Amino acid sequence: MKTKLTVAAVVLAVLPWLLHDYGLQVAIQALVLAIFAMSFNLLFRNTGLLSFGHAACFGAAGYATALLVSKLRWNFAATLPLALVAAALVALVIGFFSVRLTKIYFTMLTLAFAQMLWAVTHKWYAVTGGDNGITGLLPPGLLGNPKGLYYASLIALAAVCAIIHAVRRSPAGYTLRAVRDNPARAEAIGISAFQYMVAAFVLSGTLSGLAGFLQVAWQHSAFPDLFYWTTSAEVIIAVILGGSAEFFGPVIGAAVLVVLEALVRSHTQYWPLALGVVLLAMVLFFPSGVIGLFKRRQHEEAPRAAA
Amino acid sequence: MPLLEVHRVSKSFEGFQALSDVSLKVEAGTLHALMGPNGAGKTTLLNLITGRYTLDTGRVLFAGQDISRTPTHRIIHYGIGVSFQRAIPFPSMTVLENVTLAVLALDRKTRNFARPLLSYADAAKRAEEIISWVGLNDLKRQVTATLPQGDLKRVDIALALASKPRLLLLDEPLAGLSRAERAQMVGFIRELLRSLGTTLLFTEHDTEAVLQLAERVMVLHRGSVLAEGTPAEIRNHPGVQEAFLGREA
Repeated sequence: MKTKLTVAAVVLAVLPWLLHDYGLQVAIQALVLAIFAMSFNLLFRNTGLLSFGHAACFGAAGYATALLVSKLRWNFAATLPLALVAAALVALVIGFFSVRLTKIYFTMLTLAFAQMLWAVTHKWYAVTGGDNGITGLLPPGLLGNPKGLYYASLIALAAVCAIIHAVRRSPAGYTLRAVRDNPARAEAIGISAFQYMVAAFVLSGTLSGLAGFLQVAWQHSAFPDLFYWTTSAEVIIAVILGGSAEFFGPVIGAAVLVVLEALVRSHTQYWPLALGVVLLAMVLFFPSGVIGLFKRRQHEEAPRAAA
Repeated sequence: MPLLEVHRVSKSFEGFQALSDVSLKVEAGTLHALMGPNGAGKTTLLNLITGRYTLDTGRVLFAGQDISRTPTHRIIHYGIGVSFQRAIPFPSMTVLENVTLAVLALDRKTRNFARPLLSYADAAKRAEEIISWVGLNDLKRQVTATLPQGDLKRVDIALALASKPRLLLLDEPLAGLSRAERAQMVGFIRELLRSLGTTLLFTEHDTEAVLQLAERVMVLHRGSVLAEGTPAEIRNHPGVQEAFLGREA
């Protein structure tokens, strides 16, 4: 595993020097989606809660940055702490009301919250610019340079992975798994399932906010679609594609999704159709995602090699 | 003062009266059983004591303190350990991780998001002691999803013991076990009481096992108390004989 990680780190470190401009833009987009997907999967994998409203946290951070830069003339990078606070607060409110519900009701309530925020940003022209969004947000310095933004996103992804890895091994991480596996048993050893699920939602939402901040840095603008259900759907698709049970599954899924979209769109306008076909194939034939597929192949080939 | 006092509790589910006006006193250091057929209300009574269900009427006192409206995760901190009828510990974790987590939960140390679980040496040591005590030392590194039902019951009891209970509640500890496993479990429960001196309240529908194990027995029938007393008194109770022991009164 260490060797694979070292190779991946070296490849990712030299990638900007091998790619042309468009390729670098695709790579940045993949990194941002990978951060978002890892953050989403922190909640999904550890608690079993399928949020269809993570765009709310992603968009809250993006709009916090956009508003602070455009209205209050803050330095772009200096908005990051407040962007994360905005994401955390939105996550706290949504989590507090949603985690009491289970399964489809939880999913629908998170979707409803995100759609409400979308509606507000879409119509509140005086503050958010409505459907015109907030544009002209070119970050100065490192974040304004494609290579600089790539490396900033790469470092952010590494930090998010390190945080999630630490959480998984911690008592709080085990507690979340306990709540997911058997909430009644968890309560009976003295754990408040509600408190931990809210905490997981807030942590997951805050890290999603980091992706929202980088998204605005990448596109130099903020539009209501940051909150829209398609943004929440995209992160779910990335996680399913890569494999939610695997630690790096969301990263692989995000990379495959973004690169595939860029390739398909360069040849045809029917990307949604292609995505539908890919998803059908994944769900029907490879439900454990791309990493699961490779692991299964390795597993099948091992006995043959031994024979 | 009794360690546990259940005072005239009732509970219904959508019109079905699961328990009606049931009272119970459990003295410290005793082995108390709740007996009755399926649907008698035994598990409902345990769930009311642990706060898993809310009471319709009545009160539950533990060591003189009213715990009637206290949620389960707080009740455990008062010194009540619970083992469920369908023992399903946390299947994605090893036996050691299961019990270490329960030890840390009692100490309210599960809020740490950074330090590895098994780096809590004191908690891991105590967990290993409990695991050794329930006889699962050889299986402590095994993921619980792979264990047979008898071992799962022991893991579940280990989780209950991790909360250092003054009162241990076991819901049908013999359910789902093979004949050999049942005999082992009866011996294990006897040993548990002898070594730890914990007060025990357990439910069981196996009449003979109850009468062998318990010092005091309460018999529930259709949500009401049919009889209460020592095993000998229960054996000779005409209503119990008619209802459960297959003899005419």
